[in-house]
Amino acid sequence: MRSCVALILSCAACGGGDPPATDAPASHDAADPDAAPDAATTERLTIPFAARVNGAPFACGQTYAGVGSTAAAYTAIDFRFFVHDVTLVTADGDVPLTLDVDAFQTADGIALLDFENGGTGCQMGTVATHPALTGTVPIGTVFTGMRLTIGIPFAKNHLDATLALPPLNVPAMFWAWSSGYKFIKADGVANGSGFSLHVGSTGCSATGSMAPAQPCTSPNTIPVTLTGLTPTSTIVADVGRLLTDVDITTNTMDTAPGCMSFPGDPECNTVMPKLALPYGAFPAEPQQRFLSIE
Amino acid sequence: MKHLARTLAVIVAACGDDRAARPDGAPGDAAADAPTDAAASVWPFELPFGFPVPRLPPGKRLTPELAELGRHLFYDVRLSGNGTQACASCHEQARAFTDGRVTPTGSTGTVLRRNAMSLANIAYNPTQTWANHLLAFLEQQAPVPMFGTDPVELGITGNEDAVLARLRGDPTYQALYAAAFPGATEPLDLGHVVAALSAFERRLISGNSPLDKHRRGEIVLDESALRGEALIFSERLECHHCHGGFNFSIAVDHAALSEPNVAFFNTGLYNVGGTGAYPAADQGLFDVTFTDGDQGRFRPPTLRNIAVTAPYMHDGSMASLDDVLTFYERGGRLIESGPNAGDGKLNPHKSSFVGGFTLTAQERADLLAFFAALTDDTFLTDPSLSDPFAP
Repeated sequence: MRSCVALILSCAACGGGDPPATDAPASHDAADPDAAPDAATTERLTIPFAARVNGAPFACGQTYAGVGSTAAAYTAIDFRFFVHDVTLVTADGDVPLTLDVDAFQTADGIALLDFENGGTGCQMGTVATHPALTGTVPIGTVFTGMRLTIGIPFAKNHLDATLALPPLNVPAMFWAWSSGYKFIKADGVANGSGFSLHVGSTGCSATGSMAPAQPCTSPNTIPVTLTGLTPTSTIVADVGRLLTDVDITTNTMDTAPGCMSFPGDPECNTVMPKLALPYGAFPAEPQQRFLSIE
Repeated sequence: MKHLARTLAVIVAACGDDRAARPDGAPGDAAADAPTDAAASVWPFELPFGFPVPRLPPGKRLTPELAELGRHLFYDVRLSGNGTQACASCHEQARAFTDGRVTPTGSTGTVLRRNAMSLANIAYNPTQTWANHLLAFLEQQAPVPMFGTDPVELGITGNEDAVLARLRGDPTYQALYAAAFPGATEPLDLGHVVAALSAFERRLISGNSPLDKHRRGEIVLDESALRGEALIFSERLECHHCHGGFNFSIAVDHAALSEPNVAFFNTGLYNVGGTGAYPAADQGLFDVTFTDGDQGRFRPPTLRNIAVTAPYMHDGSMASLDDVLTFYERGGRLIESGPNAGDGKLNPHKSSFVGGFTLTAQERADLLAFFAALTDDTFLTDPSLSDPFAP
């Protein structure tokens, strides 16, 4: 069965505009790598995402029952994550999804999926949300699955976020030059104190304001392959599935509140492996549990 | 990439010279009165290495001449109703534009409820003052001390004509005004004053501290300060979640951001009666929103020049940075008796990042060394930011 995607209407509609306020007047000759793909050979594709907590839709300020190993109440306050290298699996091999360039997607294929709306109950949020990947694929692409990598590639992860283009300049998603971005930021409150899941690179040899020269010992980028993708699929991101074996109502003193990827935090012991990431003595599970197709 | 923003500022500034000069909005008027286009990014001043171009509110204008008028007004006691105080009375350059007091006293003797904030890099604030999400622009903030009646600060309300007569009659201001508003036919009014003060305040950029010099490769900071920096950015202390970024405040805005990053946090300074309340005189953001959970939430101030801006916190209730470290080490302040008794550590609205930690004596010294490395002596002594009336 052929995947059904809408034909692109015009060149102006496909690129989502140039990066804001930085480029010289854009040239649209064929040699310009940022120029919009040829409308005659590409078609638009939107892949919707949904953020959930144990199956229930995420919303700032919403309280969810039965979260974590003690089945605690969890009030969500933030839910955002980065992906890159998005490709579609077809019978003829992988086909890249060329992302539109806009406030949430970069020209080099990095996207921030953002489900918080900065409203009541959110913390340091933004009004704009971005619950889908949008872009173009070669016309007639018939896909059965998708590959993406959660996180930011090393080459882009340790630049000066202050001067980066959106969405890589969103302050709430950046740690510091040494460790880079928060790949996943899923924050909540349980038992009166915060439980934040911040996944990002650790073991990066650099001081606070300098970029590391060598790759981090724990890059913590997460390659994901999802099978069974159809034109009507939604990709579900569920933080509850990562927290099933951790008591979110307590936090070990002198460690981050929740799990922030850094070594020696007992609240990470069961969480990171569920992202198919090893954590200290705890081996990665064979499959990540965060993303699934619905 | 690092040079992009600075280059852009230069390009845009060069394009802005042909823009018609025009007076800014009336006090508190947030509406644009000039076309909103790319020239809204005009930034005619050099920015430090690594600093982004600040966002200029729609329709607002920034020129050296406007800022120079603002500098005079900022330091001029004639701007107060009774001629006794200027903005600079509570915002001294040598203290990074704070005043060293717990809380200031206004021109008519009223003791204010909040500590005078540093004005360093306020062009990058997404909101102004300690806790008001509605004061997005400097043009919205300046009228508060100018016209406020509870408390009275400069006390212009009721004295508008007298204040304007003093300024209009001074040949210095006639010249400054003509330069700042070329072609203007109307006399100087308080809307011009607000525009000029805001322009001067946008010049208050601090980015030449020893840490900045270290980052630019001009000097090498001592190991203690660098260890302190690493602690600030560690997941053990968690300071950087609120005091991160180039301005050491996560509450930040600039021209390339899709949206301002508005942030307010409760740090557990109070927990009156164990209810989560702050003293009734000042509950922070709650006093504006009346939203439960906003009690005690304040904007995280920049750490730049923090060593010269004692005392600390919104009410000036901590005398030293050592006290501040002890407070964060405990994860909230315990007040054992009196009307404000309660354990701030247990404040239900407290940020999850204020969980407490334990510092060694060396780590404490390292943090203080890092704070000292954020003192920008260039900023504290820059003649172009100083009192033009000084002898």
